[in-house]
Amino acid sequence: MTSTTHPVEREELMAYLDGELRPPRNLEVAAHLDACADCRSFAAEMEAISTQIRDWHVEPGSDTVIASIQTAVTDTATRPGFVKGGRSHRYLSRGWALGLAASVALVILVVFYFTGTGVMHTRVSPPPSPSSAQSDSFLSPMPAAPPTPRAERMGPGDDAWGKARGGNVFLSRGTTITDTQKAAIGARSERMMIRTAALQIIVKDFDAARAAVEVVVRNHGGHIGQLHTDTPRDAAQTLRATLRIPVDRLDAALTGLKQLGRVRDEKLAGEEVTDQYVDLVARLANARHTEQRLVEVLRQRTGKVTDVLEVEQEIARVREEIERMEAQRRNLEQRVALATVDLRLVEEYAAALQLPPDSAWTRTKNAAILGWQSAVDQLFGLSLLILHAGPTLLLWGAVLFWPLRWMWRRMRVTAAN
Amino acid sequence: MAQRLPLLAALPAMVTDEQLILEFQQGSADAFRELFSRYRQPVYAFFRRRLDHPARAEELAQETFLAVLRARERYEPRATFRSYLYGIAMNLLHAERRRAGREVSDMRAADPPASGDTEAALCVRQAIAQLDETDREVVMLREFEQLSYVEIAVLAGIPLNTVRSRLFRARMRLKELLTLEPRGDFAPSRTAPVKNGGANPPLRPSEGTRK
Repeated sequence: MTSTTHPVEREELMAYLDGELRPPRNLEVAAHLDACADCRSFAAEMEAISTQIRDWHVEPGSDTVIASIQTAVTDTATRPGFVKGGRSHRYLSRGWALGLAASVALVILVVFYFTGTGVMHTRVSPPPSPSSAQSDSFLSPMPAAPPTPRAERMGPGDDAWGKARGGNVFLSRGTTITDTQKAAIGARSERMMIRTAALQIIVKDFDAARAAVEVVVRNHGGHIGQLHTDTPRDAAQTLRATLRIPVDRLDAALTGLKQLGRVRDEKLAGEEVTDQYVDLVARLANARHTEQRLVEVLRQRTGKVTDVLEVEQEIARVREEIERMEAQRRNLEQRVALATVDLRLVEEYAAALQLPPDSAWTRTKNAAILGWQSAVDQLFGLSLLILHAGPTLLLWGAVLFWPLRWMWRRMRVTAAN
Repeated sequence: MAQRLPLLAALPAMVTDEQLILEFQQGSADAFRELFSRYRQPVYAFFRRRLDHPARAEELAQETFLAVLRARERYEPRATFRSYLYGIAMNLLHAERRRAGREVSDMRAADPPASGDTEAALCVRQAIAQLDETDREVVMLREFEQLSYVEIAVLAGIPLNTVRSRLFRARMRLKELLTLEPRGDFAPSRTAPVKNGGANPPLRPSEGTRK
């Protein structure tokens, strides 16, 4: 029903009346409707049709539906876990409740067990000495143990760690801080860097240089880790050494070494290990803490033998780990505190070429030998030639023998005549 | 939720269907009851207009609400509750028609029009019965269930433009049928133009058997 003069199609008008036209089209149609009587009459017709259609009313349903739905709603509402998510959540909440109850019961049991056995373990011992609280290495971030009832009962002679390890003193208890660690700590305040250097120096006087190296190293508070010299008689002598120099004196030491000769090669490097170190220290603290707790558990429990053994095994494992980490930490500290210098000294060696003049006898001898060699070479060359050309000549000789022989006879006969 | 109910009871008309279903999802049984009271008759009417047996229509209406109860978490706020509800009803209707199509008909012995039906209702019913199936469904969903074009498109499984054109066609056809048939006449008017060829169509059983 389109019309070239009418801007609004009937179908579109119907959509507008149904409220289904989007702006701005709906505004345009509304404006048109105001102006067009034809469309208004069509709109009225559409309205009448709809009204008529809706005359088809349906009688109300029976009450059975109401009743059954009400029952169903009530049933659903009274079931536990009636929350969004439906059936699965109902069962889930039941499970959660059971789990929670079980956990609470377990906690109560555990508490009773421990408090009950704890009553049997009262001890009287002197209070801990102040040093034991402070002797934790301050390299470890683990704070001093708070004064728990257990700790108070442990006296200085009652070092659980010490006892179990046969009296070995643990690093974190009362060890003196070595210079190495101090150096590492000093470095640690900014960051921890492992510094390395490699130097190759050409020296004129090898022996003097070697002595000088030792002096330089000693002057800067370092030491020689490894040394290897190579002194062949008529070649350059070389020295290869690994020097350990305190990191704060490294630059001065390197300057001193460079003065020994001409620097052919120099390399400096730094590896940052702050994170590694901090992590290691944290893990160490945790492990020590765990160990302490395990030891406490061991002291308190008088449970089954298997349980005790298990705890002891665990303690042993943790201690092994602690030792390993301690070794790592010491190693890191060492490497940070002492820089490593890989030094190569090479002697400046120029080999002298001095040939004495030949004597007459030598010259005669040389000539004879050369002559002989020349003759031999010629002969050899000739035989090679023969070998090379021989077969071909023989072949042609064989081919041409009879004709040549005939010709020769004829010539002789002719000559005879 | 208990604290909100008094407000709910006081101003039921101001709470939208979507709010109610969301409250129902959170556990409010009263929200569901409110929805039920709003849609009980429309859903029943949906089935009653499309099926012959009132009892069956009631059963299916009940099934629809039970389905809403059971699957409440599936409602998502991006659809109107109405389209969600009628979507469920439509699925049940299709299942019913498939089932009815397989059964020996019984359907032919359709219930006579209930005595409560007015003559006007009868005329409309007959006129609608003469429409093409898709046109019929579209006009019924628009006029009775009052769904939007988009919702009709989704439910009927046809494109949006098709909804509009079919609705227009259906209404035009109904206008012809309803204006030409004098009101109060049971039988289709002899002057009414006969669609679908053949003699005057007898009073047809409802759409259940038409395909």
